[in-house]
Amino acid sequence: MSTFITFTVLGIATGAIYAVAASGLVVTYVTSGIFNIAHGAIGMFAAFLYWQLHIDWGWGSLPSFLVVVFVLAPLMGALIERVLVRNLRDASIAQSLVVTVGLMVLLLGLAQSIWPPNQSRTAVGFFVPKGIKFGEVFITGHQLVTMLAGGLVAAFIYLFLNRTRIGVAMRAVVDDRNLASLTGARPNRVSQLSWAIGASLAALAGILLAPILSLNVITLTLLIVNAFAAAMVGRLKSLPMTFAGAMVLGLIENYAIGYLNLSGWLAALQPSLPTIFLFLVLIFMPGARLRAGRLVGAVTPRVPSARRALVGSGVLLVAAWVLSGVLSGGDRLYAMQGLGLAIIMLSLVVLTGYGGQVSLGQMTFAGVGAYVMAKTGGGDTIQGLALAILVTGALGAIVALPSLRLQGLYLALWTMAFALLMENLFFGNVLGLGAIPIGRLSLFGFSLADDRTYMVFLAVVFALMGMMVLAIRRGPFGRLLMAMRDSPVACATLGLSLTRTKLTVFMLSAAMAGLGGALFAGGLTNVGSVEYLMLQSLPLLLLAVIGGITTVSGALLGGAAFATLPILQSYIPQVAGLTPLLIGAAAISVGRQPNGIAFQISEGVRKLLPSERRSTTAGSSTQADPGPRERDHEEEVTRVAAAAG
Amino acid sequence: MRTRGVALLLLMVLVSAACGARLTDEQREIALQGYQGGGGGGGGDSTTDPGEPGASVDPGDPGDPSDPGGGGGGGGGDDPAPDAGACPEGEGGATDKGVTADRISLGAIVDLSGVQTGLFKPAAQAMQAFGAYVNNAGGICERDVVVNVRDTGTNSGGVQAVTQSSCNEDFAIVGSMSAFDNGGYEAGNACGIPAIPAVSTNAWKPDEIFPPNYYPAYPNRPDHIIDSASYVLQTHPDVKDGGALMWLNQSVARTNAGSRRAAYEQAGFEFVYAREAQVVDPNYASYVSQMKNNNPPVKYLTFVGNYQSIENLLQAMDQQSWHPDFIDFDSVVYSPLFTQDLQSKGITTTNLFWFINTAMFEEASGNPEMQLYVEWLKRIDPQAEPDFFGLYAWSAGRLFQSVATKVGPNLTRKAFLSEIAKVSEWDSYGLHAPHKMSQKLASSCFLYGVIENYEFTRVSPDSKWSCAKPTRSVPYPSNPQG
Repeated sequence: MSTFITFTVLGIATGAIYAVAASGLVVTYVTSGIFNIAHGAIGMFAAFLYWQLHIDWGWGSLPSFLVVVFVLAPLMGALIERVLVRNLRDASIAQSLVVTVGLMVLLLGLAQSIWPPNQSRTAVGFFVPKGIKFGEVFITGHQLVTMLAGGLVAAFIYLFLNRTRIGVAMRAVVDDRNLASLTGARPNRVSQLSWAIGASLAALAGILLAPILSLNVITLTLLIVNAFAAAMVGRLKSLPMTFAGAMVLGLIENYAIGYLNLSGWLAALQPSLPTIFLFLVLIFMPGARLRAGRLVGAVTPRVPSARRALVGSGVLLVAAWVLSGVLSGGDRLYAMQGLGLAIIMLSLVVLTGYGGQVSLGQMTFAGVGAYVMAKTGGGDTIQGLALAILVTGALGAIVALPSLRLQGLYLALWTMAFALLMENLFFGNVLGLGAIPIGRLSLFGFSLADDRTYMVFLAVVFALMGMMVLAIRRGPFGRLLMAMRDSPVACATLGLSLTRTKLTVFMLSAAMAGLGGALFAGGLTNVGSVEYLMLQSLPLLLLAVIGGITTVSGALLGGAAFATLPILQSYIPQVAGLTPLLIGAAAISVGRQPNGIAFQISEGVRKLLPSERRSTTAGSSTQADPGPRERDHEEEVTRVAAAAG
Repeated sequence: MRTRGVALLLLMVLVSAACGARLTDEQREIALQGYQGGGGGGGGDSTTDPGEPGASVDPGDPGDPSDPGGGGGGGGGDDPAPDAGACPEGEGGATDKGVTADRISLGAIVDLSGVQTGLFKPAAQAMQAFGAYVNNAGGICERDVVVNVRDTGTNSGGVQAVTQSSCNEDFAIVGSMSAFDNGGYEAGNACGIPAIPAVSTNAWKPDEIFPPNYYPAYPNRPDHIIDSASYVLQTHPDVKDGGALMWLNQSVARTNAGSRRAAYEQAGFEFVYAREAQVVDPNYASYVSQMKNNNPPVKYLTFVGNYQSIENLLQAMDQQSWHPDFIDFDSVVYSPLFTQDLQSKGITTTNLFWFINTAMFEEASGNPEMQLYVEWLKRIDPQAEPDFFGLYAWSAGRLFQSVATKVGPNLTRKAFLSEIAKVSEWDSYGLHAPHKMSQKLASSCFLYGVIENYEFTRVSPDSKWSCAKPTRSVPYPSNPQG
């Protein structure tokens, strides 16, 4: 019995940590409608600020705490809202996720630039070493403060959002911005206040968690992912339920330590418990209703004709052939890896760009594809590649099953949970003890082992897949995907099968990622688990969106960015955080230009063409209808006034 | 859910066999004082030209070959310190890739940028210091050394790419330090470039730990484990039936934990508790509570992971007022960052032991080679801090210098590889325990210490290292769960 009490008390202490972390996440979502993946990074940054004031500059703990939590963090939140979030109104899930991921990367880079890692920094807890004893277990004063803070924050925010005018206004702005403004609310100001409060709570979490976990940029940033499951119990809305979810999660973890002693493959279940918890929460979550009044037709880049695609492919192949000869060995390998990733990014163009479904697990499919190929027929056969495509396609179908009930953010989190589970249960076991070798294809007796040949081969594959993707886009399935992305309600009303469409696009996308993964690994000549961790899917999505997730050329640009950033970094070694800073800044710009760099480039080129200039001039002088092609490029957002939902 | 993700990529480095040791100001002062003539065997004046080690210090003392202790005071190895003038005759010129009539290009492949910036910066700095030192001493057979520090971006693909660049542009890869060193093994092996990494972190294949042309200065490998278990059993025989093993849920930590368990069980240990902890783990108090109440009781505890996680574990042990008889850590804790953190948090160090296979920074006054390393490091960057990885990068540079000098002006990769294969032992003139270079086996030598008043203090042996027991050969991979 005493053991049970011990683990219960410790479980509550762990739950309190999750509660503090999850509360701020929920508040931000409730009051802004944005799932802020950078919440942990904001907390991390605040914890370092607290250290700077309290430890490095010798301020008292109370003034340091007050300044960080009630002045600096809210200012940071307000600034983020003004610069980033305001542009995300009506943004897609992918867009808002990418911007917050970009913010996270940017804050990580900033923190490491300001506070270099190779230096001792200790976060000292409150009331250390005081504490009290419950039975056989000692609870520190700092843990008690954390528990108290968890409860108080939940209660305070609950009352604030439900019992105060400004709190109600915050929620109203998320529900319907225009309607709220009609009632006298000032949406922008309210939204700014929401982010200020969210950042303040993130700071509180960061300061409280740093002494428990360590003052480390990565650890503090990532703890928030553990709290996702707790936040999901409250469906990102209910603070009491979030608090309860955090407690249950904390207890499960500690009871597992106390009573489960798994070995072999099952040992991986223990670290996966929170992921399994998230799976269950998502499965039992009520199916999301199709929402009306969603954004539709937001900036659809022109689809190149087959002829243009062919020309573009030719240009790519010539460029790849020339570059493969010009680049030095190391840079050629970077280019090869970039092309491999670009192929994987093409799978996101179909799934996210066309279909509107967000996946945070594409690198997992890529990893499975690579593993299957490596383990089949010597690792360099076309049969292995075919099997990789089949297996990952089937896996995609399995992952897609819940997508029939889930959509938007919940679907994205589902794919993330899948990726984490695969990381623990599959990659951790089959690849956990080092990389396995994989070969480069031999086609009809022609070896592609040589670096230069393999690079050109990857370009050929990209070109072929790009043309296939464009053919899909131009065909009936592509139109179906676009319709589903723009308005699931309209699709359902017209009798189109969303279920079949989602299942198909997930399978297709997973198979493409599997193919890309197998070829990417061929470039590396080995399959290690590190490349296929869940968190590797974030930069993949990030670079794809920065390049332009709705276009094939966007995927190519994303891959090119991956290849060139390390080279750029090598020329400016003194700015060690250059890559995260650049990626972060570029991702943030996605808030202003959701179609990415490829779209901007194509628009710029189009304006330079004489024929296009004439068309533009005529249009502007006569104020005539710009025509169907121009309408495709309209920046104006149109809305569907659907009745259902 | 458990996020290992990016954090794990970084932690791979820290848990992989051996980790950092940076000098505190005090340690650095001691080291520099030593160089300025403070210690026995040291000597010289920092104002004199330290580029001529033979003049001010005596790194050439090979030590007593019959003494398996190698040389904390500057001995061991096959070769005396290379003399810039002791070069065999030859024509010279552009004898191979990366070699011209007047210079030799070396590639140092180091994790610098990426998710955790500057992870192995001290290794890069040590190589730059080595280059400056050698050139100041007249180069190698009248050729200057050019060190190309190649940033991996802290990922496997980056290692592969810069290895390829090194293959094309450098004569050899020297002083490299990466968490993803195996990413470059294939490329390096294919081009046959001589490679002397600082510390190896990953195996190439289960049956061939390193490619034929790779000779790490510290050939750390998972199938041969230092027999520190024998020391524990000798000094604390009662703990053998109460072993506890914890490790981080990360592949290299898991691998090393498996190897350690296998080695300790060979020595007679019985593990009664084995658990994997998470990188982002707020539950250390639960593990401690479980160990505290374990039946049979836990008397010995070891942890394979980064020092930050160890701090969290020790903090939880303090809170639950539980300290087993012997708490055992490897070189991962031999860092002033660790002791500074412990002191700041007020964590007690009861029964805490650690073992390493390098000379102690605290004893630098008696170690001329360490003084040389620190001196040249400070010359290239007064703010630079020496550490464990830097120490081995310096050692890699010195090994290159020694072998290249023997090869002489007709420096070719083939000749170099042929010559380095003849180096049976290497201790970098007493900077670390003598590793078996030709066999690519780490030394069996180690020293044990404790932390007293938040300072590292040697316990055994009184000087140098204890080398009585050979390393334990264990199956690779081994399961840490038993």
